[in-house]
Amino acid sequence: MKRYILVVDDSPTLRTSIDITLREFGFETIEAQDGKDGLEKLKEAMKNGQSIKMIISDINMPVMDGIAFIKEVKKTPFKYIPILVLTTVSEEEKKLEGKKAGAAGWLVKPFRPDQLMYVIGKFVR
Amino acid sequence: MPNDELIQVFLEESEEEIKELEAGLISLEEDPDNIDTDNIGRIFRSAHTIKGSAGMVGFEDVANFTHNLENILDKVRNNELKVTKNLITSLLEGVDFLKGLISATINKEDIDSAKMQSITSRLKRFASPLLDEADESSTETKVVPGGVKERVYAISMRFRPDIFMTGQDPLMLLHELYDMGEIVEIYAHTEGIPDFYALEPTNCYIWWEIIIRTEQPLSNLKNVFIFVEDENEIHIDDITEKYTDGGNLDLAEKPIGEILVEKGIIKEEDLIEALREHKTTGQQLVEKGKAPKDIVENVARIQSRSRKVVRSKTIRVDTEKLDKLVNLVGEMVISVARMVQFSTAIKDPLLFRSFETSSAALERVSRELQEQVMRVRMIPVEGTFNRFRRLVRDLAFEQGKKIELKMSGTETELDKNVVEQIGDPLKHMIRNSIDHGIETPEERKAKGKPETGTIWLKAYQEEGSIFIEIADDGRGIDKDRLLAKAIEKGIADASQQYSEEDIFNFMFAPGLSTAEKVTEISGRGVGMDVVKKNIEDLRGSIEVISSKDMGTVFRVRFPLTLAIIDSMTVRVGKEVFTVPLSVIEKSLRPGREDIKTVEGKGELIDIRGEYIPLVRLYELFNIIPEKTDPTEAFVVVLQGTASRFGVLVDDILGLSQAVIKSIDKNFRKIEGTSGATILGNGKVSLILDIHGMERLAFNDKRNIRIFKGVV
Repeated sequence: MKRYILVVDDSPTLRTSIDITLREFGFETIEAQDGKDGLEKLKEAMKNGQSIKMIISDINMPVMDGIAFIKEVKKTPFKYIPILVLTTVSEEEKKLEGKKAGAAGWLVKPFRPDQLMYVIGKFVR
Repeated sequence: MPNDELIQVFLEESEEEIKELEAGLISLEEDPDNIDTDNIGRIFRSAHTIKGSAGMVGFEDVANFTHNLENILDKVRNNELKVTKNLITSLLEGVDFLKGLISATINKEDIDSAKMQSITSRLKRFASPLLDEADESSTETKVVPGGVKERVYAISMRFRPDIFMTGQDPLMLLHELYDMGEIVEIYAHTEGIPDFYALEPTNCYIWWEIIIRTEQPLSNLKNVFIFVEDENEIHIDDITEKYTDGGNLDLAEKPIGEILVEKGIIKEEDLIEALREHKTTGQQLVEKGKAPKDIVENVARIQSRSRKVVRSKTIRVDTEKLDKLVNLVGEMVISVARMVQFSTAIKDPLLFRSFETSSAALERVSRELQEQVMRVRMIPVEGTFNRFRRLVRDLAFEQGKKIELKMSGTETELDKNVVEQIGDPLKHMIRNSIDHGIETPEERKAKGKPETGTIWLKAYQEEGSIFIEIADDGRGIDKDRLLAKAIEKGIADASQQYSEEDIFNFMFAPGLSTAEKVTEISGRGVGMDVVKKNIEDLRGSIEVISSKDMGTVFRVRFPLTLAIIDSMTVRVGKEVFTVPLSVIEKSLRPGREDIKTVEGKGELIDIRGEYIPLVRLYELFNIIPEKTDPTEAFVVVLQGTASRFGVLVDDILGLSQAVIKSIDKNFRKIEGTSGATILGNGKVSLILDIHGMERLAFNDKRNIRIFKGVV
């Protein structure tokens, strides 16, 4: 069974770089460009019977930001999926906000593939 | 070097973002006093995105340079920096340089470091006029300790029950610890796991104690718990000095306190102190002033004594063995009855007297034996009831309603078969109450009711029956709508007058649903008719009481025991039938004037001013009777859930106890009967099933003699 990870980020570069790493480690990536899109993709994945093991989400995004996205996810049956938030050094307070909203972990951008996989390994084996 | 695909994506993205950046800056310049927060937010995010993306592809120069732009824009965004023409010019200059920097980096050309330096310092002056060059990159310094030495840590992890909701999984933390060193000892505390019915599968009930030997510094261990430490109880203690070698198997049997004392991790005094602090639920309740101390202590003493007794006196028995026993006792009861019948043959009065005395004793003992055996089959309804807590909670949540579920009499016992099979009908009725009964909080508030609705689930015993009630304080059943629906579906007759009870009973008619909106739960094709049938199959009956805006009560009644019933034996022709006493209202021989025939409808008999339909049993079952004139025969009046009617029989033979034997298991279902029993003379008698007879007599169109309703 394929293991999917949802990557929510408005930056295609971020999404692509995560996708490249994830594929190398045997994960499939589902990409979304903002929180609203992320919620759509979750529903779509459920319809397609794809099992999402984890969500990686940026904080600062247009349309629906990461915090609002996490809060929405927590209202759905997807609430048990661990959510990793991507922050930057300057977004310390966002990290806490994300944690409060229900994020399971964070990763500071930029990160290397091994750092990404280490954090993912905390939640998915 | 990152791969080409990624660089291509980055290039496209950064070009896009730079365009945004430029356009945004220009419109900012046009109206510097009137800052459009959307615009400045967009500009900031563009810089932020470029920085992050550049970092991801490993273009550190680009990331570092863009950081300066982002920093200024952040300050503008937060109104910490005023927009001036100079500022915009510098920013645009920075953006221009950024374009060149990106293409140079991608094409691996040399970078104009001098120009980058000058633009950077100019931007920095804007950001912090005091030229405070705080270097953020130096904040993350990692000091690796020199001398690596193994240390031993004791970790205790207690999690909040809903930890899984946060996406955390204790198992993952355990895996992570496992990777960090050698787990010397691990204890999983499972005592918090509730019994199956109260278990929430998504809760975490277990907590762990771990002893780990590792070369990693304490900070690394702490990092494992960084996301769970705030809301969960995580303790890490360095016990290297106190810890001697572990791995002793017989330690597993000892209490942790004792083991810790033996290992020298804690002192014995500590243990005693800790144990003293360890409080029972009772103690805690006493301390909180919720219960008087002497009562709690008394209850605890009785409880511990009872537990001892229960523990030593309980054995498990296969239900099959029990069923056999029930059957045998039933046979015995019948044999006793037969034997007593023979006593009339005894001519000697003295012998007769002593026979009678001992047979009375035998009857009494066998009766008691039967009751006791029946009780063995009884189990409390608690387990079945508890399953509904979750249902109510989830459905209420789903529908945005506030509902409290109150239970009482959960210790009430019912035959095992019934308890196992009432789950579904009860569930359906509870769903009904939630879906159609309890209103939304707003609606309730408007009606002056408390926002939280209540559903009561009660069980109690009364007069040889067990009652289960499902009550709610919701909107009640809309009689008019129910009647209209029944008429629409052809169940009720528009020209008839119906009593409240009659109308409520339409609810149990097949193919009727009053729900206008089909919710996720109702509208599954299972109606109240199925509920009623399920209950009747268990020899139970159901009634509804409802009042507008006050609520609805479904009352289900079950006989105490299932296998043996008190009954009356009646004869029609050569056939003997057994009628459960619980449905018999009275028996009588009607006078000529009590019998009326209504054209096209059927025969009625007058029971003290009320006309009820008369059912001729011989017609129903196609047998040749001895008597066809009601005034020469007997009428047994039966009271069903939906109707009341008289049954015409040749003779009433007497009262007896009947052990119900299933026919459909050995033969097939016979409509109008619920089984068979063996009579005192060894012959088989069919047991009449009132509900089946109702169906046979009143729903069958061929039986035009018998009619439905009231004249």
